[in-house]
Amino acid sequence: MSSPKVIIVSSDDEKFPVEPKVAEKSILMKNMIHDLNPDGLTEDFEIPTPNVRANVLSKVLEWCEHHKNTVFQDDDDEDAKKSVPVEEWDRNFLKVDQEMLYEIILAANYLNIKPLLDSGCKMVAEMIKSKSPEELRRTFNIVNDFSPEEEAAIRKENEWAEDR
Amino acid sequence: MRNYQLIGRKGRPAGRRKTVEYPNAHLHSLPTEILTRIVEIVADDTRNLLALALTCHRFHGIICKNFLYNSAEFKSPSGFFRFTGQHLSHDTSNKINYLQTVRFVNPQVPDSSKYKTKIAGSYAVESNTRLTDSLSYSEFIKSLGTLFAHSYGLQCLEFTEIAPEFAFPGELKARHASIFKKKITKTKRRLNKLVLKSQTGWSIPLRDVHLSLVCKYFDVINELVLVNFIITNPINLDIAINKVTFDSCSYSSTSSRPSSSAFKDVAALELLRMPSSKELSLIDLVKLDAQKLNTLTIDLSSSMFYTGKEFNFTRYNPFFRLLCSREGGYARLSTLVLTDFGLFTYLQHEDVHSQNRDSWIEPPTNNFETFIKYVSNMANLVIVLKRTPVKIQTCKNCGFKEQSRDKAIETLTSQEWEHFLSPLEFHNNSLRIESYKGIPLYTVSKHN
Repeated sequence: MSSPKVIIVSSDDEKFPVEPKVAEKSILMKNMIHDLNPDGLTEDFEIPTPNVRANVLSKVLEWCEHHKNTVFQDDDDEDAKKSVPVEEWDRNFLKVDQEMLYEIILAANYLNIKPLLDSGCKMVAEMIKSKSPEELRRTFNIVNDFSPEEEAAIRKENEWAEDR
Repeated sequence: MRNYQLIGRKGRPAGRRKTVEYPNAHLHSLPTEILTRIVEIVADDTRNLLALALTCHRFHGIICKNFLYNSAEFKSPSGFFRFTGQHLSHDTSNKINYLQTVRFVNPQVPDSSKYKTKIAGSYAVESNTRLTDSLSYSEFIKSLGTLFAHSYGLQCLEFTEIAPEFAFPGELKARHASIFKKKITKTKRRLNKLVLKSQTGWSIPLRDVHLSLVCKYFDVINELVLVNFIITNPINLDIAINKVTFDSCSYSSTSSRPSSSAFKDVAALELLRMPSSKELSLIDLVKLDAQKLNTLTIDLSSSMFYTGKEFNFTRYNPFFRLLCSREGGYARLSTLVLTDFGLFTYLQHEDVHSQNRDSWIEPPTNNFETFIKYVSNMANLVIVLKRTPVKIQTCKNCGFKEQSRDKAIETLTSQEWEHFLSPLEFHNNSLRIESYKGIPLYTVSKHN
């Protein structure tokens, strides 16, 4: 008899059976598994994820499968952590269109998968670095909702910070 | 009919704003906590923040509130000059409400000393050249006053790289009695933390004028941190300081020392990186003025405690015995915090078990065991371990499952801590051992 699986159900009702070890990369799912099965899994256990679509969930589970044996340092030194570059495999994995990237970030946040959330945020941060306001608007398709007077006033009020 | 403006200040845009609908999976639609997380990664470079703030209203709000104005650092007089011109002159701007931490690097010194160049330490040459984009000393003080008066969210104030000539205006000191009389009618304000750091390479005698302007606007300072100061003069200011930290400060005693009213409310005293044993007298200095002093923190990594690489138990055990005696002047002390504690390496279980307990010879007192016996007289003892990994010896005789010479101290279970500490004599009502990160590793209380 095969060992019991965790079956993760997406918002559009697609089912993804995975090993408990894979599902437990999500702290949300890990807590659910342990809280609702205090004696361990004896049969398949279904977890609904009403906020995550199937194509996003499949990507997130691909990441969990790849990292199922990775031990992430629980480093509370946030400054040191944010300067660490995104790992090569994660970088390639997150080379997706912006819409998918944001959905992965939202799913990682909802499912409480901190290392994936960190990698996703770093990828977006890299797209922000060293760009002018106009370049940022173009890159992220943001509409300029300032009037020219407002924009001039903001430039003036923030002048002091230029030599920070 | 009267119009009332409750919170609004200068800088509020007039008229209706364009509303743009974004899809759910869009950078603009991400929750604020995720956007903040992303911006944190690029926040080291202010140009990134300034560019983001100019993209749209939402990002402008997030950047201003959480980054640009949350923590402001002024490295030069020109930076503060521009800030003052934009946010503090005439009507104060709404951004002042966001300020939580303000840091001044090398704050301006009184004009007479600023424009004087000393040649070979003997001659003083006056210079009339003043940068057009910087504040005069009086403008600086006036702007600081406006900043203190209007930034109600201000939590932490730092003045670093303070020059020896730095002082708040002298007349404040001379007139402080009348100023404080006036202040009683004002709403009381509390500043969470005030940090004063002297210029690198200098140790400056602490004077009233280093604090006087802050005292004009705040009645309580939760924590005063002094770095590299010489404590010699009494500080007489009408302010309540709850905790004082002397970091790398030296103490210069005078024969007849009048008391410092500024320290009268100190309940917690922290001594960090003490250069010499003379600095232990700072405990007496504060203790004499502060009737509420109950918590003392001592940094055990201070070089004065060591002879070579060894902790000098012979010299300092008698000091800790007196300190923790809970008698006389030390009767009020109830909590002792020993930080950067790396002394557990002195606990050798093998030696403890091989000792002949029936010996008629008086046991030595210049050792770690006696040190622990003395410090554990304190009602509450907190031991904060050193950051570097501490490896300890485990011992089967004490109940450990296996003998090991290099078990990481932070991996000990509660039961293992009991075994490990069993050869030591603890008198405490309460003992807490924490990792350098402040994570509790072992707690025992006689009240439990």
